[in-house]
Amino acid sequence: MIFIEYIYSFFRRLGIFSISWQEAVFIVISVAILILSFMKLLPIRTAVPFAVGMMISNLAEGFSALPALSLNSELISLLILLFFIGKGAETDVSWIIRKPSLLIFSITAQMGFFLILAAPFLYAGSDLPKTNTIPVMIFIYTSLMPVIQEPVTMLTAGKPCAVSREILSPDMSYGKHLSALILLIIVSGLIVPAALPFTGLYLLGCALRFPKLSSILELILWLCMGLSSHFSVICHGSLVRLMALGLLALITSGLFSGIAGRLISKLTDGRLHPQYLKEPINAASYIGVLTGAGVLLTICC
Amino acid sequence: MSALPVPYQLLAAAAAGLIVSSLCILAAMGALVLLNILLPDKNDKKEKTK
Repeated sequence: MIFIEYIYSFFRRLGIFSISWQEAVFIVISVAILILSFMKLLPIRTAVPFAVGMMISNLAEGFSALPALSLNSELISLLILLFFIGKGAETDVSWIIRKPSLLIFSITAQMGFFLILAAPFLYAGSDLPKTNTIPVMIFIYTSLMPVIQEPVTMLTAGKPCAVSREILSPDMSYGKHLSALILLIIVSGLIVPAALPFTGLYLLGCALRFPKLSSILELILWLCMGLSSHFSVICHGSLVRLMALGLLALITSGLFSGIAGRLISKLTDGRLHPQYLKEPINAASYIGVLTGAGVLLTICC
Repeated sequence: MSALPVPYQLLAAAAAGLIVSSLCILAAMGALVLLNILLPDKNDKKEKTK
């Protein structure tokens, strides 16, 4: 008799009986994301771990209760900081060091960030849980930058029309490279000290060469994003609003960067065009947004 | 400031953040220009392609 009760209680706890229709919908959505990323319509590096995490979270709600994997945990903050080192390690900033005027793209990248995404945070004062939210928000924003902002920039800038382009010699002494990075860290620290955890680590990464680091961390972090994407969290209005604002901000920044790119292309007779400057524009955008994040933290907290 | 309608307050907050952040970027730009003057690169040249 006891044996039958055990069997009955086990069957009652089967996932298939405890799943709600909302969770089922989100599992279907995660399968759709996986299919779209396998069809190369979504970036595999971000979409696949996110979709897998989302599927696990909605299949087994208890999984998202693990405190270490919650987006507010200290582990996630640490991984985000390591991700910035990794991003720096896969970017080449030598173009920016040689042509500091390219930092104009940092300002254009900040435009969408401040005008659309950061404004509600700055306006709302201390009502929002910024200390925890801002690093996660910056991670999502910077991770999606090459996926959304870069194509919009290239589309706005149009095709290069000149037959010549400027090429800088790839050789740069490591001493100069390092001095420039240290100088940038000092300037950033003197003006916006709160930006140092972001820009400082990014620039530290630029001094290293370890390109695989950011891919691994991006995978882990997007998986954690997915694991925190139970339908009850996603359907919460503020998160959807934040995501929509983020997308709009990335598109706006892309538009501004494209316009700046067109202007620079005209001024240099087409020798410097965004099509030739993808990496420096990305690097400048990272520097801009990470500095912006520091300003946001300084003003808000 | 608080007497302003919400959209203007949002705009003011965003503009303030953008200005402070842009100042930092401009300072970084200035520092790099200075570094390039002090440590010039002799290898840089303009090449024609295609």
